[in-house]
Amino acid sequence: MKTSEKIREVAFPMTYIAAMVPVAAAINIVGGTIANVLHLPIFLDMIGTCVAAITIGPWWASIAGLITNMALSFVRPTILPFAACNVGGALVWGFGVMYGWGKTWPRFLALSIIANFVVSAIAQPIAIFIFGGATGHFSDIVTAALLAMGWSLWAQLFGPGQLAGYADKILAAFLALAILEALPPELKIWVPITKAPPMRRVTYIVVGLIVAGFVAVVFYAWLWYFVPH
Amino acid sequence: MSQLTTLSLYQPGNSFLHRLDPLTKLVWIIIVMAFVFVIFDPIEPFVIFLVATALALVSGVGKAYLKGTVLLLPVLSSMIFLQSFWVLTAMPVFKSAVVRPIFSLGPLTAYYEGLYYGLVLASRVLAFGSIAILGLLVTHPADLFASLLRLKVPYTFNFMVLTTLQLVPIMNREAMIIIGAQQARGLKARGFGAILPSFVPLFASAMERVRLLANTLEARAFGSTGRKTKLRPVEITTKDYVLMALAFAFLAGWVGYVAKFGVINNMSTWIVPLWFAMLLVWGSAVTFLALSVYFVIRLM
Repeated sequence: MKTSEKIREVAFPMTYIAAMVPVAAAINIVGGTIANVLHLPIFLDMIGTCVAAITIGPWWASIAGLITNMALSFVRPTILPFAACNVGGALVWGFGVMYGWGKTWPRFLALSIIANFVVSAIAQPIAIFIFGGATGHFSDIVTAALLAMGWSLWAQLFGPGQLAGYADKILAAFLALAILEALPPELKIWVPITKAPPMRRVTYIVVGLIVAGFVAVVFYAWLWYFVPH
Repeated sequence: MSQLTTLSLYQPGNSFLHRLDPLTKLVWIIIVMAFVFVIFDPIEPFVIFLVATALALVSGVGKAYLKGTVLLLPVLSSMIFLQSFWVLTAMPVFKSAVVRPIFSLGPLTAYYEGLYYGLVLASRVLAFGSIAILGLLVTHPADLFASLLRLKVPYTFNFMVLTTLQLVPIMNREAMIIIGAQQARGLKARGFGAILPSFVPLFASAMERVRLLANTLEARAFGSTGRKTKLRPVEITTKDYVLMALAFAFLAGWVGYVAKFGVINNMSTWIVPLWFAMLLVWGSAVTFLALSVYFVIRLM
């Protein structure tokens, strides 16, 4: 993407930004709670970050991401180091749409995949150096299974355990698109962005990724158990 | 997460810790965190945890403190379990080290070095988690941000954080009402199919709130540069200065110790009775497996 194609940032009133950032952070936190209530194996804690990245730009969205983890750390202090992940996601989504990666839904899908890769690349060293690879979340089961099969914690950055992360970011990004369509006209976004595709299509992609991750782990387990090593 | 109904662990009180300036507590928390992350031994962080527990009991927040600390159990058990069995695979840096097995279970072997490393990581998280939980229990979030204003943290940033803390319980309650109403009308309220019906009404109202809040801020001269008054004034006293000086003296002493003797690391010589090592490994394994089963049952 050429630099000339970059969309010029529009100056929003400070009062709008001061209202949007906390709402985006609150959406992140409540999204995580809803994922828990609906018994989903994903986080959904970056929807607000994505909305903010597209509406008010990457830097303010980074602040929303930072505030999300700061606010959550008031009840779970161990979550604070992962604030960098939310900031990383905000920058990828914000600069991505600024450079035209939100014009069509396949491009936006690719952008969300890149966002997850960046988030994982930031999260994995934090999880390894501070928590020894453990998070206290559902994903620890996959981590343990892959460790048992000889994967190192670093190699897991590219492993099937990350597929749930991709599903999470894709779902968050497309939910953000659906939310953006509910924005009042005077607060419409400053970048050309695709219309939200039918959610059923996104759900199929997401469920497909989670099933693929599960099948890949089972396949590796099968290889590990039956193939001499 | 029941705390999300308030998004604060704060327990009102009038203890010595409650009366301290939030900045003093923040300085101590940051210095203790720096301390635990540059030692490679589980004893010192565990002592910090015991001190934090004693302070919580003395400050009258013991019950809430223990409830907060129990939330660390899943991550602590995962750390000890994962490192005990797979320290060599998980952390290739240890591949060259001499390893001493504790016991084998089929193809899996637990090592003293793995258990030690797991205990180091777990005790670090226990130490900084417990000291942070204690700090949050005795500090009102508004006081903390009022104190941060003295450090020239932008007013807008403080406003955003405090507004988030106030918005989350409101939006959380709205989300539960929406999901409850949909369940009552027979709408599917589990799994991926329930995401959109749950999120859209909530976020439509969230966007309406953005507009309302922005208008309110505009009407109340949010951007004015004049001196702003505080609803909860926070005063810094002599004892705060003394405690902050003690914190920096502790840090300087610790830096001096590390410069002279190096980082404490007893991994290669660490040994505990076999029964105790097995108790730790099995305890973490059983907790980890129980939590895994719980997660899987919740998904079904």
